[in-house]
Amino acid sequence: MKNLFIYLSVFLFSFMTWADNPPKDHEPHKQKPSVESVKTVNPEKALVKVNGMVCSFCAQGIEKNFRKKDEVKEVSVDLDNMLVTLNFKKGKSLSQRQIQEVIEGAGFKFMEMQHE
Amino acid sequence: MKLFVFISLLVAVQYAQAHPVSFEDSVGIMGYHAPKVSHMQVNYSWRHWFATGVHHFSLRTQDEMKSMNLISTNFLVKRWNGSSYQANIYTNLAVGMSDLSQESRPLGMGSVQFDIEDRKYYFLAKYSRLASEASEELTQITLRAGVAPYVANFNDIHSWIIIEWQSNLFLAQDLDVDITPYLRVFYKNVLFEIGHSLDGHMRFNFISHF
Repeated sequence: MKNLFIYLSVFLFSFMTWADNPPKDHEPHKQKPSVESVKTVNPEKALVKVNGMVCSFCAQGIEKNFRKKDEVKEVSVDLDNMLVTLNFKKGKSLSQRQIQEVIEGAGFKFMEMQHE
Repeated sequence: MKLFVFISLLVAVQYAQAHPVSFEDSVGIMGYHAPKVSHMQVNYSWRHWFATGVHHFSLRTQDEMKSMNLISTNFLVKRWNGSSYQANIYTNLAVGMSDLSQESRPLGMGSVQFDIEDRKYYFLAKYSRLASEASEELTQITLRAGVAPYVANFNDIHSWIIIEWQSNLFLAQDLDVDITPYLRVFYKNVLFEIGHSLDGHMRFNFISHF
């Protein structure tokens, strides 16, 4: 019983700590990617640079969650260049904020993006 | 016998927790199968840094079947996303009931895991501790190192050769050391590993998340 009490105490403490301090690497609104190369008028394609994307098994969440978006026609992931390419449906697009949220919700670091 | 049961269950926990948290709003199914023990786990990742899971273990001994059921919380404590690597620190805490003894008893487990990988190399270190109400304690240290024979892209089949060193300490006394070479293969969202320890035990592990 003593051991269980210790485990439960550690769990509760760590959970409370976590509630206040999620991993800083993934706080969604603190990263400020370069915006110089971003075109926002009816882009058909977005190229997104992502850090940490070294394993295809771990990066499945990026592909899956972009496919859920109505605006996205096609998504492809390139591990060689750490690049996610999004093709949008005609007349539709995702904002930089929306793209960043998907990348960071999957556990990776949004670096920068470029619309074409 | 009880010691064998303890070690078998902790070994099972180790494998099925190799991927403790996945992407937000995902379900992970993990399984570990060896000739005498099996472990099924279902995780739900509420965030990319927090998951909860349920576990069922079964262990076949000479004359009976033992079982253990746990609920767990898995945390990604820290992640480093580099331009060519990713490193993580995870913790796991679990409580449940087991019938390892003659009667059903509560049981707890905690672990800390560090891993780092790029597209060619992989390293993992994990410390786990399992304890029951009867104060039986088992500590396990696992080290894994892997190399990919070729570098694959997102839609390819990935292969890894992994060597694992594992030490089990029962009540703080040196118990045994186990070395197991593995072949890991994954494609899309399905991963499996097959290994054969130097002392002759086959192991099979799979993970899928969706």
